[in-house]
Amino acid sequence: MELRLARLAFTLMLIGGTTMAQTSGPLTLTWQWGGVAAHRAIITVETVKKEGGGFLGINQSPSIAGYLPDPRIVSGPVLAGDAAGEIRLRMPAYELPPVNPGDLFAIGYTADDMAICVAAAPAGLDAAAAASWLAAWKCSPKD
Amino acid sequence: MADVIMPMRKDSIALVVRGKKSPSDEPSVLDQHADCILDDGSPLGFYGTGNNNSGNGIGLRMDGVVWDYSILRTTRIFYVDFDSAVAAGAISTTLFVTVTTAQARAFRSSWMTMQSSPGSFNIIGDNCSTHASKAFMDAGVLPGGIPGLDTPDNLYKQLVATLPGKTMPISGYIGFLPQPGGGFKIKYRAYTMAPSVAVTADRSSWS
Repeated sequence: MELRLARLAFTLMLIGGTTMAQTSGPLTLTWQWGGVAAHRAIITVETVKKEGGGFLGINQSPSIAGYLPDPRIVSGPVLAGDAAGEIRLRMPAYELPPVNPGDLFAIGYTADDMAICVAAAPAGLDAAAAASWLAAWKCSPKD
Repeated sequence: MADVIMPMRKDSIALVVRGKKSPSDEPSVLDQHADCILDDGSPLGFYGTGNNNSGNGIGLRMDGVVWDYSILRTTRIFYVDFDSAVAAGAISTTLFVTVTTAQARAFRSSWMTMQSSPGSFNIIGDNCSTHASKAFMDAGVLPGGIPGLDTPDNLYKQLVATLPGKTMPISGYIGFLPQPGGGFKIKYRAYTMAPSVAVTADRSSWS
């Protein structure tokens, strides 16, 4: 009996570990206009990509709720702020300031992971300086 | 061309075909979307949102939702805010339809019913234009469904063909200005499509 319980506990631990591993991917943010920035972060941009439209381009039909005009995916590791790991942001090209791989990029986002403001951060900041800059940054939602 | 601000006429409602750049433009099926305007100038439309059903990735078995001005401000600001429409290059053709007071009321009532109970969304046959069409039928403005495929542009053509002398199109950037007493004024900037120019090489000097 004890052996069975131990096996069960071990199995649950493995399941838990697996679940945790599955949820430890990048923080995925989607764009919206307006809201309150509950969190802020600065990433070092790794990639800026044009998003594909999915099968037959249907994901890019304007009748689908998730549609954004000419969407871009900006991703990179967090340098400072309220997140850790990596952030992956989906936003419309026309709201995206000029940004290239290696640039520092500030993002403000709501409690439910909707990005509402972005800005290019000054180049060359280390983590501590980035945190200071972020604290003073005025996140102005596009509303 | 100067920007125009106009009140919504009480005897009119409208269909807004997003992505249609002129009355004669025929955008591809996946570049169109249909919204409507009530008689007080309120914009609203029917959209599909994911629910993890199989088929969502191709626009099937989704949940329907009616978005009004307050939701469109956060999800599609370029559909309701004039400056954002210009910045995003969001051009629409709006077809104003002259109706009776009773038809305008019935049109609003149909949309309010859809808003409280939107049902499902399928990109084919149960989409934004299907639901806009239903509102026009519930209002007694149209006698039947959209001929052919349910698309915003086919609904537009049906309205123009069915209601001679009772429709007026404008094409361009459009926004909605909330009014203190309720309702909205409409701001737009006309857009003129550049004519297609057939370029043919001049071979007269070729030997």
